[in-house]
Amino acid sequence: MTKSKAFALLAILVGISAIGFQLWKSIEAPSSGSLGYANFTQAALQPGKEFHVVGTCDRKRPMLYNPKVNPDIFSFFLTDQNGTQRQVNLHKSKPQDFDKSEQIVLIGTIQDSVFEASDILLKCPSKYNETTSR
Amino acid sequence: MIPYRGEHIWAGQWGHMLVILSFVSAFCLALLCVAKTKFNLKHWITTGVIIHAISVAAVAGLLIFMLLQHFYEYQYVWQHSNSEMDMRYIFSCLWEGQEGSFLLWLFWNSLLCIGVWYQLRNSTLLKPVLSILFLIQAFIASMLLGVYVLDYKIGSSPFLLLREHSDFMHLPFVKSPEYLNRLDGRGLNPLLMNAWMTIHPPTLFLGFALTGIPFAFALSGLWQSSKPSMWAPAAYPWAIAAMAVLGIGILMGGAWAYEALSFGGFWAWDPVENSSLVPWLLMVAGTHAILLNLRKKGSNASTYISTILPFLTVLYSTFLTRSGILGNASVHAFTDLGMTGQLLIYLITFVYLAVAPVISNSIARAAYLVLSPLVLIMAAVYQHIPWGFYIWISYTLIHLFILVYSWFIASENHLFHSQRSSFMRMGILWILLTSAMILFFTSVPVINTLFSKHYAPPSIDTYNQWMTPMVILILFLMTWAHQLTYSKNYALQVLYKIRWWSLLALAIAICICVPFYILNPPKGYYSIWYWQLGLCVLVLICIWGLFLHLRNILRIKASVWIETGGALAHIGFILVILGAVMSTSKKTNLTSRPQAEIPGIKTNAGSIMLTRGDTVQLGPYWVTYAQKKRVGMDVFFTIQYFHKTASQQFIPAFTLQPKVQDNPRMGKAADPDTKHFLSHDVYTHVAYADLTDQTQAQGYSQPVNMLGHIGDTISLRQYLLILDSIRTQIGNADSSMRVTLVLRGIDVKGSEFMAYPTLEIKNRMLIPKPYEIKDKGLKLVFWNIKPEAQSFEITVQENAALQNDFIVMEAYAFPFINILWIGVMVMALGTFMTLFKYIFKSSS
Repeated sequence: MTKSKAFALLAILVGISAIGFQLWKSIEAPSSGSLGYANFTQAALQPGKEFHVVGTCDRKRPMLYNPKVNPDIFSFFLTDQNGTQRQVNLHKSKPQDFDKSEQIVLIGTIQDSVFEASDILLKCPSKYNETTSR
Repeated sequence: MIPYRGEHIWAGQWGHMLVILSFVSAFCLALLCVAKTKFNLKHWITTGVIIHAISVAAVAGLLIFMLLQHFYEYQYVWQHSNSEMDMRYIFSCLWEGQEGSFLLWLFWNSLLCIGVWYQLRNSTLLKPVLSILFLIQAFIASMLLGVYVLDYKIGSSPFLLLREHSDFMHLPFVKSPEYLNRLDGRGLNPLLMNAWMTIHPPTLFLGFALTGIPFAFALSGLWQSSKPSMWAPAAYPWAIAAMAVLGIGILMGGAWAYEALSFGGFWAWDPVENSSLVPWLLMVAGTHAILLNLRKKGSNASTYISTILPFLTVLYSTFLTRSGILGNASVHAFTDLGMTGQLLIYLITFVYLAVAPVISNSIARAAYLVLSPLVLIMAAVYQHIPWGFYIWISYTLIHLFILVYSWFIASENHLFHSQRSSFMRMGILWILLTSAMILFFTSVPVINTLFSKHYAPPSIDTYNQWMTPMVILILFLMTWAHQLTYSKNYALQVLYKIRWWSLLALAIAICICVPFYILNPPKGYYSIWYWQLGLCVLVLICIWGLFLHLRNILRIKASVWIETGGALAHIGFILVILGAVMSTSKKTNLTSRPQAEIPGIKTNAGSIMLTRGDTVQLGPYWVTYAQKKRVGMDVFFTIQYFHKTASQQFIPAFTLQPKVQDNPRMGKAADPDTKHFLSHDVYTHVAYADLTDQTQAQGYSQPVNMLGHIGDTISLRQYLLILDSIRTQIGNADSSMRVTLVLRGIDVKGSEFMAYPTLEIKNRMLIPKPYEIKDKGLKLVFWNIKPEAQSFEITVQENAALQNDFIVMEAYAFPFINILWIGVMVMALGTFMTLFKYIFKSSS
């Protein structure tokens, strides 16, 4: 192995491990964006930090969407996977197929005991998949 | 036994039999091709290839026939079609379900097998290559088997009867012999009833199937420990075709997302999108590696790696999207059909087949052979303890590392010489690195499962930021490599030759960047100076690449125009990147409202509410929600866009009709509408609306009485009414008289209409006639006249239903998006030119 080749190999190794480290960091502790999946209790420990919360909408409690006041706020109650319930303010228009959704993923932060969500992913029986609506 | 009526049992029996035939024929062929006998098996192989292709085509044909004939006793037909749907979407029904998409893959593969068999019929490569291809076929066909072996279900058959499906067999309605009479299908997903959806999946699956061919060539080469130059010439056209078809397929998906889905863009870095992008990127690397190998012998390692990886990543993507592991990470909600284990066997088998031949130590190779099935057994027994995977993955990675290291040490290529091959090799490595990054980000849900973590899938911004430097370097390498020859070059000399083109590119890039990115920096993270700089560099390198490739094309003689294919494909790719970057970074939300910031909360003020008849300003336009119309399941919203001239006049610009499909079985699905201009697109999407039809609702407000004189103006919610004049008609009988009040109405856009409420005076009796203008939602009653005061009394009612009808709407302007679509076409053209050039050259 020549000297230049060893040097090149070393440079490549250092480069790749540096990139790999940065990549891992961008997943583990992203400088912006969500810190990961959590339930309401975990998200409440770090108010102001963004999390993904998975749960279902409690349809027995009020859902509030008044586009005349603000078309970009939709409030409802979400029960997370641990059974904890919190009010959610979704800062977006109410998704058209919200009423048929089963599982909901919300991305947002806890502020003053309310979950302020900036984005929503709906798992509907309609989208793409095979689940039969029974 | 219940005597069911009207069932077509024969179809399912034939279907099952044909699936089994295609599986058995593929499996036997794979064995036949690796068998070492002194018999001449050539005719056997020929017969087998034909039998296999016919059986697969028959399965597909039978399923289409069943869909056309509405055999709802079959679960697949019931689930994916119904009697009301348009028959032109019949093919979409075929591949909507998981079984159908495996069938599609199987079908393309069987056709490609015939192609490969024809190409290699007189070659020694025939048997090894076909053995791998038919092993792939056997695996895919096993996905359609739907048989039980020791309580474990292998595959999922599209020929399962509804009453035998586990979800339905216990329901009471299937116990009735007449159940079929009352049955209609569930129907096709509304999102898939789209022209793009009829061509996007078959194109993509053809691309997936095509990646299998270079893989089969490379794998057979590896097992025979031969140099890639043995098979590279034969594999090259397949690699180009795979690259072209997969690229077109991906961008068709982008076009579909852009036109028909409410993402608000053509690319969202969704796991499903990424898992077709990565095989394409790797196929690009693979094609260039084979090309390099054809031109200059050597670079064996990168050729092997980059031709094997595309197909392995296709398998990995299939595993990701079909196993349900993506769960919450994707907008595409795929469900688990219970085939995760089978997909895993498939993936691990081919990884084993690719890694095992390069392990030189026989003990280590034997250990790998033992370890691979052990992983599966461990996964099956201890479902949540992935220790087997840790060991297996590290074992695989260590051997790959040793392999790459030894090849690197042994190679005589100098990485840093100024010749085209060096830069191509660097480009290939860089694409591998880029693919690894995207794959890593996409695999976050897998990492979460394997290591019990809860990491969030990376945001679109994270992807865009990481890809910026990668793309800049890829564009630089491909452009620079194209300026060099395969022999030795002097960098300074080349730089001197391209100086004018480069300076021109710099000047144009400055002209673009200063107004777009420096004076008006886009929002979001782009406002940080280094991302702003990154954007500028990206635009510069795109323009530079365009010019230099243009220079290359101009230097090619017109008589050999077909040689320009490579440079054209590069230009197409650069245009795709340029279009994507410019339209994404300068995408403007026309419906954004000014809103007070709430500290710590990310608020979107991205949509507006529009009441019927209202006109509001959106960016350069004025917009009216004019009408709502229901056609079958679809509710169309008519949105009119206007320009306002200096003289305050509204000139209609264009009309868009976004719709919401209100499907009782599938829920509501919004379908945006986009107006295409040469320089930009205006995208309009109804985010929320009341879908009930209220046009004819009796929703008039309480009458309001108005007293006025000629020349007075009545101001209403939506209109101004000017009392213009009166006309008096004396009737035939002396005692009767008809007074018509002429009212001039002006709406908010300044357009005028007239209203003529009348009042009859008969024998001193006042008989008012109600006057209604339906489309304006106005009711007027002229009921009193006071001649002495010269005043009139009129009651006015406005239609409240029209006032209560509203939509929540989002609109975006995508500038320069056409650059992207032009780029796609140029890229496809260039790639196909190269393909045809190669086919003609090798056949002549």
